[in-house]
Amino acid sequence: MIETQHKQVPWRWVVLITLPSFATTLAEGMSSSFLTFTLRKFFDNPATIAFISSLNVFFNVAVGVVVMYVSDHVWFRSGRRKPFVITAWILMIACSIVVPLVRNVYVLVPLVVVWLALADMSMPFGILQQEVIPPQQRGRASGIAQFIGYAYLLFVYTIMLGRFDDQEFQPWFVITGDRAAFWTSALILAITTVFVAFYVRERKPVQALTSQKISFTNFFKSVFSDKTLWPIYLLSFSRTFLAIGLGTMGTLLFTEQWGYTKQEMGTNIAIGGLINIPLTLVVGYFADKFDRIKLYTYSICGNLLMTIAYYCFVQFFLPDHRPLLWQIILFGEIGALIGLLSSTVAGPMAYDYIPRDKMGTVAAGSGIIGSLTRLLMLNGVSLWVTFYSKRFCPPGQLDYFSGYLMMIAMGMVGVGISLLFVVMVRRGVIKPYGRMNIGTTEQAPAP
Amino acid sequence: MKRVAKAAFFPLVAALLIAAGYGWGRHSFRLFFGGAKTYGTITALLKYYDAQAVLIVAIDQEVVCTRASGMQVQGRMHNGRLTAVTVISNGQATAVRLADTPAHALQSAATELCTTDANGVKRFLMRQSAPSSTDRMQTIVRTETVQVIPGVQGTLRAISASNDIVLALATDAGTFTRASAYPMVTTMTFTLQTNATRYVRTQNGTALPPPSFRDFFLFERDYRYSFRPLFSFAVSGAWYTVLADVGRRMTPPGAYPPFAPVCLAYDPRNPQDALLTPDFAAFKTMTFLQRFNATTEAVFIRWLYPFLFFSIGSVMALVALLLASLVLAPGVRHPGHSATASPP
Repeated sequence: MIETQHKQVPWRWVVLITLPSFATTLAEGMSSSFLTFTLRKFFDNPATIAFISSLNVFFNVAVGVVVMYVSDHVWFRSGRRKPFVITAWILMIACSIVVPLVRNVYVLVPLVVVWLALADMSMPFGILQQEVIPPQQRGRASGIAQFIGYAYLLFVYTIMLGRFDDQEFQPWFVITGDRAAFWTSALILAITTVFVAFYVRERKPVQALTSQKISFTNFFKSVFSDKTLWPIYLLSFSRTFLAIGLGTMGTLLFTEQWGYTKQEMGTNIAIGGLINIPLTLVVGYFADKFDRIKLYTYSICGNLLMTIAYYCFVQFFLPDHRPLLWQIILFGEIGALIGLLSSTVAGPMAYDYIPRDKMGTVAAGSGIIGSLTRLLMLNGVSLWVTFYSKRFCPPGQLDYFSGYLMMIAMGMVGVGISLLFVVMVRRGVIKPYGRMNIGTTEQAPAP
Repeated sequence: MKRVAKAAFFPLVAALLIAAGYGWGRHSFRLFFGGAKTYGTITALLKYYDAQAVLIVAIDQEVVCTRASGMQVQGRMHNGRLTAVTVISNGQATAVRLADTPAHALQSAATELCTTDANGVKRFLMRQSAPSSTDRMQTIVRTETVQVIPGVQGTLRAISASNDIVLALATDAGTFTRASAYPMVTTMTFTLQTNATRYVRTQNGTALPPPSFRDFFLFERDYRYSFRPLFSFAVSGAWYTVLADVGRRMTPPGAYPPFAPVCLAYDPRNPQDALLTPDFAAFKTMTFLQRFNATTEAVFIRWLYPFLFFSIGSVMALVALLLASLVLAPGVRHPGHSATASPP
């Protein structure tokens, strides 16, 4: 029996408790590309597909944050995380089985909404994993989790996604690729549920928050009332603007507008993801070597210029407005490299300006702001694509690539806000609180 | 009892999944590794909509490209093979000799136009018009005529075919013959000036109202339809026609093109026992990325389910081993170990 709250655990426990990450990532993955294609069967309007898919982001805050907060303050007979996780997973299994069978949109939409909410209800599983793995073993556990992430990438994008439309005719039944994907996810999640329910035991912590009253008013007050944190929230707001992509429109751009198969699309994503592995290490090295503020400024500007260059290349240079696979990978990787640089630098840089006792509060606040901004922006992109296509394309035709114009506009806003933050830092309006109280005699270094 | 159930659960699940993978893939593995291999042709396609199906038995395509100068290039295809290319200039029609090497590029262009969808036509047009030539392409009119045996229902029992032409098929709901086939004609007109595509369709000579604007076969975009190929091949002079056990929803480019050659494996003692297999030899001429995609696609179209069962079963076997090892050899880091016991 694997248990929580031990100072040291066998490495086999670490492997066993990390393996379910594959099931949870797979279940979440079903709500991206697979869900887009499932919804595409019923909806022609990209804005509708984007809206339903983006509810995932809304539930991150409305369900995920709440459930994680509540799970800190309760205790049931089987633990504080497991009841939420097991309940969510059982219902998710039922949804995964039913979703590919549904032929009625009025059944599908509520089912998908419930499913997305349940996916976030199972978020305390991440904390449960960390409660099993002691701090000194978390580094290598993270390595195992990364390995599982790559296995997921290969499995879903190179194998499963391309099979979405396939059918296999057996003497007594027909199975389609989408059903296979959803049911595989359900099968793996079912086995994982049994494992967590019967092989993992939560031990009641000595210092528990169970006696404390659950107060969301206090939670929101502590997160948003401190004015010294507002610039940080502004920064996370701008980072969301810079990181926004096409979302579901990207999937449809690839398959419907550019005419690539799902297999080609999946391989492209997987190759991009795998190339990012060594890039992450290189970028991490550089992030520590140079001035973070400078590196961040250059990288966000570079990111925006890269998006503009890609748009111009496809729209004005390519005669058929359709990049080849290697061109997509090349531009994608250069963009990913710059994006990785800015995201790697942005985290530590932001923490330089957060008082040390407020880091958890800022993480919660940034999460809420980032999720809500992302929700609005993703829907904004899809509405823009719909508007642009109606205005400039022949009837019935959608130009998903026009979403890049919206991305460029949002990128400009993001760069503007980020540069404002940098200027405020340079002028000393924003102080490096995170560095100030390292030691009592130490001066805060220049940013 | 609870302990026994917990100890047996993962080994049992692993064994069941691996057995299921073996059971699912046994027949195809036996044919692929132990059977004979040959090439055949897709002779017809069953187009399904729920339990309803129609059988596509012939496809004719005609494409007419008009350039700004008034010059026209006409191409014709029958069952996936280019049969004629004609160039009309200043009222003079010149037939292009298809066997000639100089016309190869023209042949390829005509083939591409005949077998591509509206988006593909646009892309083709953009490529052709890219140079700042005064003689740009102006319109492309493509006509697709599909011969269809309608209302095929029930489970397929037998197929009658002569050479590569399906004559009739019998299901448990009745017999459906080629005599009842009707033409479904779709004409797509693309005009460069307005960048607009227009579709007109007739069924058996009668115009169909919208939303019948989509192609009947080529690049069908409606998810509700799926296609299942029938393939024919010859063994020792005898022809065999087999309904494939795989199909695909819609018809994205490259998946089961009608009348295309296919690689298959069959049981030499019973050639009717045949299935489509990956054609690895054909992938050798592709670029790395194309080859990777084609190989992955071909392998997992055939063996996705055995792979899923085997791989999940193997991971479960690993979990079972780890759990068993924790009981049999807990190790010094185990919380139960006297040296590392920690209070709750």
